[in-house]
Amino acid sequence: MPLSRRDTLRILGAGFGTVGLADGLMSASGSTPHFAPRAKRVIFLYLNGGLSHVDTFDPKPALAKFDGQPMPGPKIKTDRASGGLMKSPFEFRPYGESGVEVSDIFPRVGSCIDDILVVRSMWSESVNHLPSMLMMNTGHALRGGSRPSFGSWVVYGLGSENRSLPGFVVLCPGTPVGAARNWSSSFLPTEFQGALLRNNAETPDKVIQNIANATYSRDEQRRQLDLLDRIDSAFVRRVGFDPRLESNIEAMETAFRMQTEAPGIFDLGSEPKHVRERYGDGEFGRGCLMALRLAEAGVRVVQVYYGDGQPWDSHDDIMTQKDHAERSDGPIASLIEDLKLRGMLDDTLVIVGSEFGRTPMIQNSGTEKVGRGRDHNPPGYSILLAGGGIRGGQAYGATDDFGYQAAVNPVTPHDLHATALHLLGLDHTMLTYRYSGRDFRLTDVHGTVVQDWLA
Amino acid sequence: MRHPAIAVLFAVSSLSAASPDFFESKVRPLLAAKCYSCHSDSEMGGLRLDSLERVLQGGTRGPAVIPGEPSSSLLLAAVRRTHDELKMPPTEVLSEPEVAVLEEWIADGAEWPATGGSVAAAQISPEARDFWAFEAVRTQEAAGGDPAKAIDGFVNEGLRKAGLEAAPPADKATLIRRLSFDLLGLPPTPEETAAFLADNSAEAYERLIDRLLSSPHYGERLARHWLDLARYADGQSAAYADTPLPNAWRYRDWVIHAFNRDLPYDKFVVLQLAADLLPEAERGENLAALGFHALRDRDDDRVDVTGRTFLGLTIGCAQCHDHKFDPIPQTDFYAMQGVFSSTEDHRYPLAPAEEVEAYDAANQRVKEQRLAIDLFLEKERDQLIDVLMQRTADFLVASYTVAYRGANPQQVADQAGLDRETLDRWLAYLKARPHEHPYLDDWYALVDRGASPDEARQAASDFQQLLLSIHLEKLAVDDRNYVKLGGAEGARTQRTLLNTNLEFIEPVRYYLWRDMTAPPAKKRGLPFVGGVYHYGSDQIERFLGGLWLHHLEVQKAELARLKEAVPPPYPFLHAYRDLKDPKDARLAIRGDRKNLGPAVPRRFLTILSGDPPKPFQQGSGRLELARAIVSPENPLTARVFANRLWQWRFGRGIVTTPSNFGQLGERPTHPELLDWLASEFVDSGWSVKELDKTILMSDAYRRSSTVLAANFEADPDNRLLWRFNPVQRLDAETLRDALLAVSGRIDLSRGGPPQDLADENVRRTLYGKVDRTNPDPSLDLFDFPDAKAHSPERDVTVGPLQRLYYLNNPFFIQQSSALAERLAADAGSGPDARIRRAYQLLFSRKPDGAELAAGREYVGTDTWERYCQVLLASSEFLTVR
Repeated sequence: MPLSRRDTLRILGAGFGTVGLADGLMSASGSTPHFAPRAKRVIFLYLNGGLSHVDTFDPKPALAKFDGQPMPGPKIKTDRASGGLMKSPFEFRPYGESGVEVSDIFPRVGSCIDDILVVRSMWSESVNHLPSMLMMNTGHALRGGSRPSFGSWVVYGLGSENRSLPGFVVLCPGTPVGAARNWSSSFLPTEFQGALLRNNAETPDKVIQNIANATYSRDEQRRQLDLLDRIDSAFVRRVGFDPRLESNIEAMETAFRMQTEAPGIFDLGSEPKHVRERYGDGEFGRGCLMALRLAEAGVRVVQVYYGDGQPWDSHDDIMTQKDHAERSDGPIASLIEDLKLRGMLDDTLVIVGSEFGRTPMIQNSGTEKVGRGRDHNPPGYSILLAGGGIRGGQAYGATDDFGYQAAVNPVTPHDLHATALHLLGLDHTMLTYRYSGRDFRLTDVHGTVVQDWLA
Repeated sequence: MRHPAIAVLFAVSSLSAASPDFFESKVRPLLAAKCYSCHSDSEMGGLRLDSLERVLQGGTRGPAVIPGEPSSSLLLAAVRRTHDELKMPPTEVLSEPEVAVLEEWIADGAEWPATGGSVAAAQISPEARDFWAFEAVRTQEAAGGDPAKAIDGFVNEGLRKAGLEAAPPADKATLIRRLSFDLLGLPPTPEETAAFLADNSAEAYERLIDRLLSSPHYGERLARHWLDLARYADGQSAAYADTPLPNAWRYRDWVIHAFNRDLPYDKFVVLQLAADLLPEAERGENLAALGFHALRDRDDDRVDVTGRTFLGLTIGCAQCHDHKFDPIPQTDFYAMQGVFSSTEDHRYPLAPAEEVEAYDAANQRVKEQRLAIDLFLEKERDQLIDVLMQRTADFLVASYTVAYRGANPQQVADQAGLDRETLDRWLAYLKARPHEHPYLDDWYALVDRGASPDEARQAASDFQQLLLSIHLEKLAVDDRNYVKLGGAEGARTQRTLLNTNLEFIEPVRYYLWRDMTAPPAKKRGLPFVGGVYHYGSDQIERFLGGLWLHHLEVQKAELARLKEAVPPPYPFLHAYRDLKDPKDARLAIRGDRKNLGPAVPRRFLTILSGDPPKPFQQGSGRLELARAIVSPENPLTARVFANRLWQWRFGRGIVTTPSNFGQLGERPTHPELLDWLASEFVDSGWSVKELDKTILMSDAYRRSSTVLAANFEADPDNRLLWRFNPVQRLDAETLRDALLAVSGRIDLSRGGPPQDLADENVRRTLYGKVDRTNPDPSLDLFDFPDAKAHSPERDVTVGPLQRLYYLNNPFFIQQSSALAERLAADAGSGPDARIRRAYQLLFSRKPDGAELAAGREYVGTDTWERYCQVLLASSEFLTVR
């Protein structure tokens, strides 16, 4: 009986993806793509809380025209009490050769617009952060349980390219809603779980658990490893052949190597000053620059959370979107520019998005103070895609006149997942895992590859 | 969007003109014969005719049926062929009597019996029934007639057929280490090992087993296996951090105790599902057993976990549609969900009623006193704002004098009779421009170009006027909002706040008002330091006069007294109880909770019930469900548990998918053996310890883990049990416990509330806090399961992140250092004696000459601590052979 992929992994025990496997086994275990990939890796910038599409990437002149008036049609039940339509306080203008319109709080992203696909017709179902985030990250809006995350599925499918780093890295300066469920491997083997690294950690050695020894020198550790190698080799000789044993010894050497190599990746001081300045010294800027370096080092999936909690959740005052845009416009644009400069944009898929958009109506519930905010808006929202086989310089789909609901070419997180996997050379219907009596996949029974997004 | 059909459904169900029999005997067969080929799964024209919902919803042309109105119903127009375009069925004209059936049915209200909708689907075909897992447990004749040799009879027969040779028996040192880890989760002490090696009697092995089975740590080890299945945790998962379940540990301790006292497994099951419904005498002190489900608060998860844990059936797969592979219709899921949704979470206090009342009352008094103080301080704060705001012009002029004329702020404040701190706040505020409002722009323009004091005074006065008018406007708006919210009470209720449309002043005017008056706020990422005139409860006292201050002090002293008087929280159990009015769950069509179908009577699974399945009669039906699960008629429960125990002993079950005995699960490698174990188990009165001993006494368990090349070629996965499956890496808890055990620091005390697994915590890992939202990173690293879900097996990953733990983790190094100290204390100063002691403690054996030499050589130039760390990181310590 051929070994299942799970058994192979167990036996050979490659802690970080499938790097420890011999090439022949890798292909046998399904860690080669199903077809030729356009993208080799993914960087997912997550603006947690809810980017207001009608104030950023989805211009709606009708909001100015009907400012203050009720939205036509039946009264919409929003999460909290909301009032009439509210015009955006920001101006939109066309950017680049493509002339895609972007609001003036994202000027630098605007300047890269010819590389970016703006999807304006995303929609989802749940009005709350947690299920919507789980939908975006795991393809399933479960209340209590968990499903494997997008990143976990990708690393399960493709393995990692780096021997000294996890295949799926999550950078977050705090805890987003849902915490580890957003990057969980769930029922996939735990080695595919996103490794949470705190990109606001003071020093590079704080970023990875147990990466540095507080007291022993490298020489002292080397001597320990030499002794361990003798002891373990003798043990292997004594118990005779056992396929599982040898990899334990190999993993120790990998760990030893990691101690030297991994912290360097997180040491942003080694980037030239002019590069660092373009990202700024904010948490998200540092996260984006680390993402670039991790991608360079061969990490398969990097997800960067904008911040702790749900910073983009502008219930009270839409002007806070401007503050957060100031902290993310430069980092997003710089990342795309630098990937291009380093020749990596072609095979790096960049996703920028959040769990839902914000209502075209003003929110005026009693929890607010300024009373110029917008509520959650799952029926219509925007995300950005770039690189990795994406056709940039276009806006795809549309919401209705007011930006409430995806109206033209509506697409779901399942479609996003299916398309992202497609770009990575994976057929989303074939990337499955047997658990609890059935085959599971990231897109469940949904998802369509959006051909119009592809270059 | 609300579905119009649902409203109609309610209206219809109150009609009783047509009997269900009429529908079942006339209408459904007609629809099935003439319409379903196009209007069930194929949904041609968007129309389905196999549920009332879909009939009422209709297809692309609108509703197919309007109950009570045959003449307006599209269905009738189509079959009568009076419709312009629709003429159905396309290839056949219905007979007059057939049309009349439909007409009568619609005229009488289109009654669609609640259960009828799925009765057809619930019929289980003989083929589906014909599956090994559903067949009765066959009483197996033990090979050779000797029950003691039964297991080996079955296993060896398998080996013989495959032409495989069994590995030789393991040596005694290997056996005691294997048994100790398997049964207790701890390594044997050198003294225990020595005693066992010295016992050359024929009963030595059996005596060892008996000793281990009666150890209190036996229950701890088995309980941890069980807790994986029960998705046990000490908190409910939430957005950022667990909501604590402070008494969850009482369930954990109950499970430990249950295994230790060998509580019969059938009772063990019934108590966990329905202890509250048992007669007092039978219930005993077992109410804590309800934690199995009460610690996870989702009805659908309870159905799924019940199915997988006790029955090895994936009932959860039937939540959205009939199970695709197993004979579990969708109605079965909702029949069981009704049981759990007729149950509400309930805390059973473990204290006398007076104690509970006293605690609640004392807490209520603290709450009220705190509210009274808050209200008083809010009023004082608002008054102070009014008072200070009237001096705004003076503050502005004073700020100008300090900032532009170089005056001393203290002197300026004293001369003008202004509060110094407030003046400093004004100075800081004016310096931090620009602001989010334009109202100070004129002021800045004026003072920047060098205004005269008179000009400044005039501008300041204008600004004060403006500020006061905004303040008045804001107070008026607040006043109206107060009414909309329903007064102070409404304004304190989150739900009212969320759902009330309020008025607001212009945002720019608000910004100015906020900058003067609002409390400090730290919205995630964007701090607001607080309004210039805002003095919160901790800052306001210095403004209060004698009488007021005295009042506040008295009230605060009273609050302190009341807090002091609150007794410690009383213990209670997280549990549940039946609702007063149990209700059947309605089937969610395609799993969509917004699209509910008929209610399904509460009952057990069709495949495991008599024909037809009888609805439960008592309350929610939970006790009947529990009894059905352990009924002798049900072949699954005993098989599933016998298989789990086998899995815990051999590393893999006879069915390797221990929570899925269905079509997609694996078939048993030794079906006769499994049935033999299951029937022995039931015959013994469901004794877990007896079953365990039977397994442990087998030769199969006692084999060495040596790989025999020829066998490996033929059966690399060891499915036929030609060798013992070694433990590839100690699991998370065993690793931590073993480290503490060999370092000598372990605290083996039992039970009680959980603690964080901090480095200084030396209790067994089982007693550490299990967190659902933020799992312990070290446990996580070693594949501790997700405590949100039922976990039938542990993953065993071995990778560099774990190796980093061995290299650098402070806890790991602490144990290395403690082990080094222990060696010195136990074995004195001679290196050989210490190395021998270390090998006995860690590996249950003596070192050979080369090992002694290597150790001596190492500690000749390096530390004992680092030597011990290497031994703890060695494969021999981290695996069990």
